[in-house]
Amino acid sequence: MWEWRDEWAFVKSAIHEFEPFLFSNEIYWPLSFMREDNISPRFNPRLSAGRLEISIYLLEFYSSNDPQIQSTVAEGLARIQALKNQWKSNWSKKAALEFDVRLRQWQRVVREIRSHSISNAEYKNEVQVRLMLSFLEESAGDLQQTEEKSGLTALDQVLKVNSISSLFIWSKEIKDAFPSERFWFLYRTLE
Amino acid sequence: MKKLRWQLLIIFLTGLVVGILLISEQPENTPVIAPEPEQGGVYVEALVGGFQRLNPVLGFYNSSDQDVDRLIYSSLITFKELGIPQGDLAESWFVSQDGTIYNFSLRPDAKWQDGQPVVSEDIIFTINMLREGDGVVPEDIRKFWQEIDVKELSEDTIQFSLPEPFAPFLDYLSFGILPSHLLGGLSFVDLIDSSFNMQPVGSGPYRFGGLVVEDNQIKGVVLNANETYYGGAPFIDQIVFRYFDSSASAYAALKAGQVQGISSVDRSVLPDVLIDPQLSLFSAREPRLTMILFNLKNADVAFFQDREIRKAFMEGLNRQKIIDRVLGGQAIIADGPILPDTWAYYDGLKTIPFNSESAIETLKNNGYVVSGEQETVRSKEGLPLSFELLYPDDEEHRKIAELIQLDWEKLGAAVEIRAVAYQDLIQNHLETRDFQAVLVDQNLANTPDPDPYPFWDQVQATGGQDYSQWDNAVASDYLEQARVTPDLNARALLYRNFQIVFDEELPALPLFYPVYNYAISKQVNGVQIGPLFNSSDRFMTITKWFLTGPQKNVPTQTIIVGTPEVK
Repeated sequence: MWEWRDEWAFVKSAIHEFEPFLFSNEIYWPLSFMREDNISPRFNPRLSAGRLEISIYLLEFYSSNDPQIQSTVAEGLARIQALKNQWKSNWSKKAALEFDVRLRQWQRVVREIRSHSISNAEYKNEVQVRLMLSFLEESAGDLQQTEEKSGLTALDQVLKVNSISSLFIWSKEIKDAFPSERFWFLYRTLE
Repeated sequence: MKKLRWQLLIIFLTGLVVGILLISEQPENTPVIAPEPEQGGVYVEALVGGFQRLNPVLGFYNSSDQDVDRLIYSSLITFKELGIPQGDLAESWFVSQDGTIYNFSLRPDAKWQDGQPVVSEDIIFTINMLREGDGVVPEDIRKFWQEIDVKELSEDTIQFSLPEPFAPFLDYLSFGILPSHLLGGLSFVDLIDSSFNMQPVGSGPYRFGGLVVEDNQIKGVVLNANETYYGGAPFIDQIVFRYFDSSASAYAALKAGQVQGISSVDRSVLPDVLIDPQLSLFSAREPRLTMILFNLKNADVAFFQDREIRKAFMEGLNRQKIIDRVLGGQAIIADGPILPDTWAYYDGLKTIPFNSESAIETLKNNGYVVSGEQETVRSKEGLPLSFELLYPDDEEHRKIAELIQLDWEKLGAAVEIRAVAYQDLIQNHLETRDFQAVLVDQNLANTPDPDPYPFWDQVQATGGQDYSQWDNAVASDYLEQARVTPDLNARALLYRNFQIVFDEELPALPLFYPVYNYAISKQVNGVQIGPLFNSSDRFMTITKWFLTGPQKNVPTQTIIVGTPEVK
C-alpha cells in the first residue's frame, strides 16, 4: 500500500486525463496504466480529486527523502501542480463536489465502526477516505458548506469514542509524512 | 386423687394434639423471616457487551458503560419506579410560576470520591460537554441543552432558564455529572481521550477500583463501596463487572462459578436460567414499543384513513402468537403509546382481543368484499385491500412481519412484506413519509417522562416523528397542554385523555413491549427491579443489596489499577 511507483504511475496517468476529467461532471474518472510502470498487481484506482491529492502528497514526501525519486517525479509533480493552479477555481469546485460524496462514504464507514461491524484491517483501508476528506477540505476552501464541515466534526468525535490512540497504522516508511496531530485518524485502533 | 390425674392427662394430650394440628394447618404463605443485611462481600456480574470509556457523556451508545457509570456517578435527578422524578444530587428545586425558570439546590453532603464537594460548576461543565458532543451525544439532547441558559447562582445553587415552559424538563437532568475540578480545562475532543475515562472519579455509591486486564485487553472493572456516599454506604464492599460477548458465554461463566449475575438473559439461555435453582430471574418491561405505523396520508392506501379498518387490522392480529413464537413469550401486549407502570399510563384501556371473524365482519360491513370467485383480496369501489409492509432488516423483525402477513391475508388483505436496512428505513421511508405500512420499534430508553408529543402531535406530522401523519386536533391539544403543565397530576389527566383518543382512533397499532431479563444468584438479597427506562436502572436499589451464604467469588489477581498499555 502506498508504494511510490504506484503513486507515480497514478500521477503520470492523471496528467493526461486531468483536463477532460476536470471539465466533466464526473467525480471518478478511469485511468489506464503502462506495463513499464511496473505497478503493484491490484493497483487500479480511479482518478478523483481526493485520490490525486493523496498521490501528490505522498510523492512530495518520498521525493523529499530520496534524491533518486525526486529526479524521477519532479517534472511530473510540477506539471500536475501547474494544472491545478491553472484551473484553480474548477479544481476547488471539483474538490467540493467530491467532498460531499466522500463524506457520505465516510458516514457509512463510521456507522459500521459504531456498530462494531468493521475490523481493524478494514479500517486501515477505509481510513483513506478520511484522509481524502482532509485534503478535499483544503482544496475546496470557501466552497465548503459549514454544515458539511460540522458533519465531519461529528463523525470524527464518533470515531474517537469508538477507538483508542495507537501507533501509526500504515507502513512505518511513510509515518513521517503524517504527523499525529493533523492526521490523528491514522493513529487509532478500533475498540 | 388418682381419678383427677387421669383427667389432667387427657386434657394435656388433647391440647398437645390440637396444638400440633394447628401448627400443621398454618397457611403456606407464612411470612419467611428475611435475612438481616450483612456488610461486606464481593458481587461479580457478567456484563454482556464491552468496555469503552467510563464517562457518562461518552457512553450514550454503550449500555455496558452505562451500567458501570450508574454506580460511579450520580445525577441531579433520578426516577422512582413509576417514572416520578426525585432528587439525587439535587436537594430541592423550585419552578417559576410561568414554568420557564428552574432553581436547584445541591445536597450539602454530596462529595466527589476524592473528597471535593460537588458544586454548581460541575453541573455547568457537564452540560457544556453535552452541548459540544456532536455525534457522540444524541442530537436531541445536545440541541436541547444549546437552548437552555444555565447560570451558577452560588456554589450550591444553579438556575436553568428555558425559552418556553416545558414540563418534561426534569427528564433531561438524569445524566451523570462529571467533576469540573478534574476535567475543567478540557474540550470535548480532549475529554474523549482523557485518562480520566479509565480511572474515573464520580460521586455515586461505588468508586472506581481498577481494571481487570488479561492479555492486554480490558476484561472487567472493579468498583469499591464509597463509604462517604451521601445516600448511605452500600452493604456490598466490592462489585466486579466482567465482560462477555453473549448471554450464553456469560451463563457458562456463571455455571463455572466465575460470576454471580448476568446483566442480560436472552432467549438462548432463558430456559436454563428459569430452572436454575441457584438463580433468581428478574423480568421487567423494557422501554421499547414495537408497533405498526400506517401512512394516513397516502392515497394509494386510503383505507388506512378509516379507523374502522385500522381497528379491523388490530383485531385480526394475533399478537400473543407473535410474542410466543418469535420472542419466546418475552414481551407484554401493548395497548397504547405510553409505557405501562408509569405515572402517565392510563390503565383503563381495554386490550383488543384477537378475533379474526369479528375483523372480517368489520371489513365486510365497511364495504370491503371479495368480489369474484377467483378473487382472494377484498376491495371496495375498485380499491383493493393491498399494501406493502416494510420492516427492519433483521431476523426477528422478519419473523414478526411474516406472522403479521399471514394473519392479515386471512382477513382478505394482500400484504407484501419488504426488509429495509434500519438507516434506510428511517432516512428514506419514515422521514420522507414514503411508505404504506411499517413495522417499527420505538425506543423510549432514557426518557422516563412519557411525553408522546414528538411522535403524535399534529405539528410533528410534516417534519417531525409523527410518521403516520396523524392529524388529530383534540389529541394534539392534550399533548400541548401537558407539555406546559408542571403539575404531575394535571398532566396525568391530560395524558389519560390523550390515551383514550388514541385508543378510539388507533392511528397506529401498538403490538408489544419487550421484556428485559436479569439473573442473579440467590445469595444476593435486597434486589428490586421495577419497570426500566434503562437497563442500568436495575441498580436503582444497589445500596440495599447484600450477600448471604458462603462467598465463592473473589476478585482475581489480574486486577490492576490504571490504564492498560496501548498496543
